[in-house]
Amino acid sequence: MTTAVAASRALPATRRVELRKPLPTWKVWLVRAFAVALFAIFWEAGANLADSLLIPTFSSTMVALWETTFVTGEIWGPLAISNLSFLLGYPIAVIVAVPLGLAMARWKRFDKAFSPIVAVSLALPIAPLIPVVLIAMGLGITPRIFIIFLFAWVFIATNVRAGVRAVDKPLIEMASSFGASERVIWWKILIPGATPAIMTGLRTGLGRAFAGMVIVELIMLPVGIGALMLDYRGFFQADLLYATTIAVVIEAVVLAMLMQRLERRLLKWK
Amino acid sequence: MTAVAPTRPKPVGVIGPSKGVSTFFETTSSWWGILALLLIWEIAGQVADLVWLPPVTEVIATLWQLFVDGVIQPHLGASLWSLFVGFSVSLVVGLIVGTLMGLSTTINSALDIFVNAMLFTPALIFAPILFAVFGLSDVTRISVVVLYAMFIIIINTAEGVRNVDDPLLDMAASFGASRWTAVRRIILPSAYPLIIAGLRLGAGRAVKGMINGEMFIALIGLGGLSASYGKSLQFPEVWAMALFIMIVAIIINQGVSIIERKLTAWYD
Repeated sequence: MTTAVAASRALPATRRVELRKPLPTWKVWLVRAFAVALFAIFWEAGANLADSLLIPTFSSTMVALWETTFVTGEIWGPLAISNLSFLLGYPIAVIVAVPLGLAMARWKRFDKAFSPIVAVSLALPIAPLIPVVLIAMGLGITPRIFIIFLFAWVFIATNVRAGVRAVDKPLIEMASSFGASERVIWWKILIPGATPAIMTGLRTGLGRAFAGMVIVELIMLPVGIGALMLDYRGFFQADLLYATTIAVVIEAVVLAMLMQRLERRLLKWK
Repeated sequence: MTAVAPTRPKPVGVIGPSKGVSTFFETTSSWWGILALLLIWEIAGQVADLVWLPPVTEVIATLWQLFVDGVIQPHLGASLWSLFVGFSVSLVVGLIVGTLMGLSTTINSALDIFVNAMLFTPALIFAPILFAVFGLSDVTRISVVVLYAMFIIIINTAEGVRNVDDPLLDMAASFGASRWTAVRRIILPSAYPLIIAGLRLGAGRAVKGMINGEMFIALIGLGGLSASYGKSLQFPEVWAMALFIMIVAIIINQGVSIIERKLTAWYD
């Protein structure tokens, strides 16, 4: 008995540092709601304290968000203009980059021919070159589509290439020694094996394409949502400026969530 | 005691592989390909005689001239300063917040919505607000850098801290380690590779934030200089600045990977 007590005194049984102490779901949401409420209160109080034309309160920003989406509908036109170029540019990037990445992974000659272009495209900053694209392609929607394409394609291609290359080499050799045709190798081995990496590429590319849409409108070619924000800033309509920013954040989050859902479904199906 | 520390697989960045300018050297199987590209550019520039595509020799000469005239140097200094300050802020805040989020499920569930939303959102969207509030001061540019770099550092740090092996924590507890000792001696060292990966991704994003933020303000820094050339359609200068920014980004990236290799050499 005494030894046991002594031992426990020498090594006080400290509780293990619990890292993954799971919170019940209702508690997680309670904490989240509390955090959001705290954020809103701090914003409201800070804005009242600052009393600046450029810092609207949380409540007035929310009112502006409600009005611009449901009452005046001011945001939808510019949002549609911006998204049109995004909805064209991103699929084009996918259609070009996925086959390119696959081909680069499978055939050495393709890889040799395109790897300098890929390397340069990974390193070359696109934003400073936007004026070049604008002068080369005019002021319509084409240059914006092209810039969004430029933002996205290389990340898709490199991820697809890496994914296919990571597929087990012996597996492919075995299949072809058992007489599997190139087609079978593609559909049964390469593409299923590379799907996670391809999805990573598509997700990264989506983020890049969306960033491209925002960047081109904010720094060089004010149209769509970028022009709207710059107007609000110019006319000191701070509540609408903040509300529009929040709307774009919401769109980015919704896009990311949709992509995640698609990814989960595809991986399950596989 | 024959037990050997379990070999851990080398963790990678949480958000995809660390694609960035780092791959520039890795994917360039030979310099001949790059040389061929430059040659094609030169010939196309000479033959096509397009205003927006000056030949590469003219671009390089322009870049040289910008240096000789001392045009670039002050802007380079301004850029690197905002990058340094912005990245330092991201580093300190990111490590602290990330560690707290990894240690506490309550803090994690309070902040994860905000952090993830900020990671998905192109941070330049906040530039008009920042510009409205802070005006032309350095704070605007530095804030853009922070918004670009901080959240990936937070997420990787939290992920690293959260994924510490259970047996290690059990051992720490059975040896009577206090919470603080466990964090310092067990959790942070074992989260270290993911943290470093986060810092590396953060550095790449910080450079992007620096250029994009400067281009938005269009006044100062390398991005500001190239934006003003772009607006006045001086294409040799535009290409020269793009080339120079690329070189700066590659140098920073190589520097970061050397530091990364030094910092993780003892691990494994």
